[in-house]
Amino acid sequence: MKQNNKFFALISLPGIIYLLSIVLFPIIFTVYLSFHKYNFIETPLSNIRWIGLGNYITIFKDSTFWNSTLNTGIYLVVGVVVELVIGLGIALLIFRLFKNQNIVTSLILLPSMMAPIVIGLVFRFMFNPQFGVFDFILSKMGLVVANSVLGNRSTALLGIIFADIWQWTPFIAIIILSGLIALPHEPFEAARIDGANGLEILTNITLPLLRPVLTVAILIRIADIVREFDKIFVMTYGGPGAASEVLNFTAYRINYINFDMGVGSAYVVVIFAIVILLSVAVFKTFYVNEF
Amino acid sequence: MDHRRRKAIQKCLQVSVIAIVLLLFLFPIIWTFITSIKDNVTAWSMPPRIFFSPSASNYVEIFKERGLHHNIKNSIIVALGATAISLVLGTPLAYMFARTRYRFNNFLFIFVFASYILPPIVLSIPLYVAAARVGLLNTYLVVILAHSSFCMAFTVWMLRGFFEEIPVEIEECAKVDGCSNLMTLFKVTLPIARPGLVATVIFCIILSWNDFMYALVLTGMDTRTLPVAVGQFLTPHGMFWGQMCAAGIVATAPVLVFSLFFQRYLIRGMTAGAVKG
Repeated sequence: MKQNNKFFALISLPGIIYLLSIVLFPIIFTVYLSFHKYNFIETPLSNIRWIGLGNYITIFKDSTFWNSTLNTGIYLVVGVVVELVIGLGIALLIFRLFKNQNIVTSLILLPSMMAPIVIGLVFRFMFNPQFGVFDFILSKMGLVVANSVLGNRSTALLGIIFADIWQWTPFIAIIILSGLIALPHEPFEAARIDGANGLEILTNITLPLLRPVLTVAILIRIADIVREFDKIFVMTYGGPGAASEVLNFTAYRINYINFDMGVGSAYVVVIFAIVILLSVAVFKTFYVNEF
Repeated sequence: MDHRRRKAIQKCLQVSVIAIVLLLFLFPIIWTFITSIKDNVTAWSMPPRIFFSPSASNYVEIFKERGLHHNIKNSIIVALGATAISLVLGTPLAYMFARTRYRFNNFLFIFVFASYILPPIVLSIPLYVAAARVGLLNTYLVVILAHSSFCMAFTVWMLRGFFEEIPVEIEECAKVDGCSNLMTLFKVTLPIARPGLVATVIFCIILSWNDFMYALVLTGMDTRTLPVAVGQFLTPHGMFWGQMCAAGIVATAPVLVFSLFFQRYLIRGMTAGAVKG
């Protein structure tokens, strides 16, 4: 046994050390920077000045931050809810038809496997006012959006969320499907004998049983949405104005366009804190509760 | 008879709904492909032209004029580098998680999960500052290091599940026959886990292949990866939609091929092993 311990310590130590040095120490450095006044272009690293919570105060006083937080919140709620509802529908449909995964499931997953940057460009192209196919369809339906969907303050974020829903709904659907496939048969048979209808079975048996799988799906989507950057970068660049700017995008702008890395680091720390807090909250509400 | 008829109609309806759903989700990709093989005149006609003679001019241009093969080469180098590091360092770690119950395992595992969901921007700042200081910006190394952070976390998560499925008894048999721990790992466990290893490698490569943010911040002219190059089809002087669509298809093609081949592991890979598909 002792020899085993030594063996496992020896083989896993390099990996642990590597991961700590490439993830943990850099995070500590970012937190350290967030307490300093530091502009990457103007100040050499040796001359940074400690300003305590100064950067955080700057952020919380800035209306840009609250605008981006609101947009991130809208993105999270609309994105996750719509993807879950449509995804559940698709999953139930596929499950009824095939009972298993097949070529349909891997084809439908393709959007979720693609590079988000490519999806952003494709949707920007399809939303193009002159030759985009979406704007063509919208105008045929009698819906005219001034300046096109992505150029309009009130619809730009929705356009991006639309692309997100398109990309990730299949993913949610297939996760739910794999959950459905793994479910036991007995509760369903019992319910049918007791005369429960389809909706009752869905809300009282299927959904509660799917809880662990749904939790994983929601967790992954939250982590992904909070770090969403690629699609926004190519679809609107946060515009028009800051109408579609989310926290992650604002952080990018401050760090790499303004090079104000003190404030930027504080932004990043806030974003990471949000990811962790949301993950823990989702986990606690959905997973730990008994079924 | 009537009952069977109704069943058949219902089935028909369900199949057509699935077909429509599938079409809706594939439409943007199909549309991109169609646009990529249109020449510049037919691409802009509205309403869209259904019938046209396909042209490969966009594909020729993205390689000849824009040198996209350099970006593809860069993407491959970065993806292979990051995957190699992740596999060499991550596999033993995953094995340790699967076979031991140390007290710090839980804590360490949460840390690995945190590295996986870590927003790239968090890590990009210290990497950028450090790389600029030692002159490593615009090198392959710094992007490889960045990508290895999430690839390695992914590897550990994914492989732990595969290792846990291998019964300990098999390993114990090997040890009774005189294999050392290390020999058991290499001669018994790893060969059995080979499908898992292959799936892990493929997904690591795709993760790295699709990354935009690290690459945008950390690469320069010579080391620009494919997603960054694709993003640059967007210029203030206008869009090169046809070329952009062609580049998008080039970036998507390998992912499409792999996802068809690795159907069995898709869900597992996309959830880093959290859901067994």
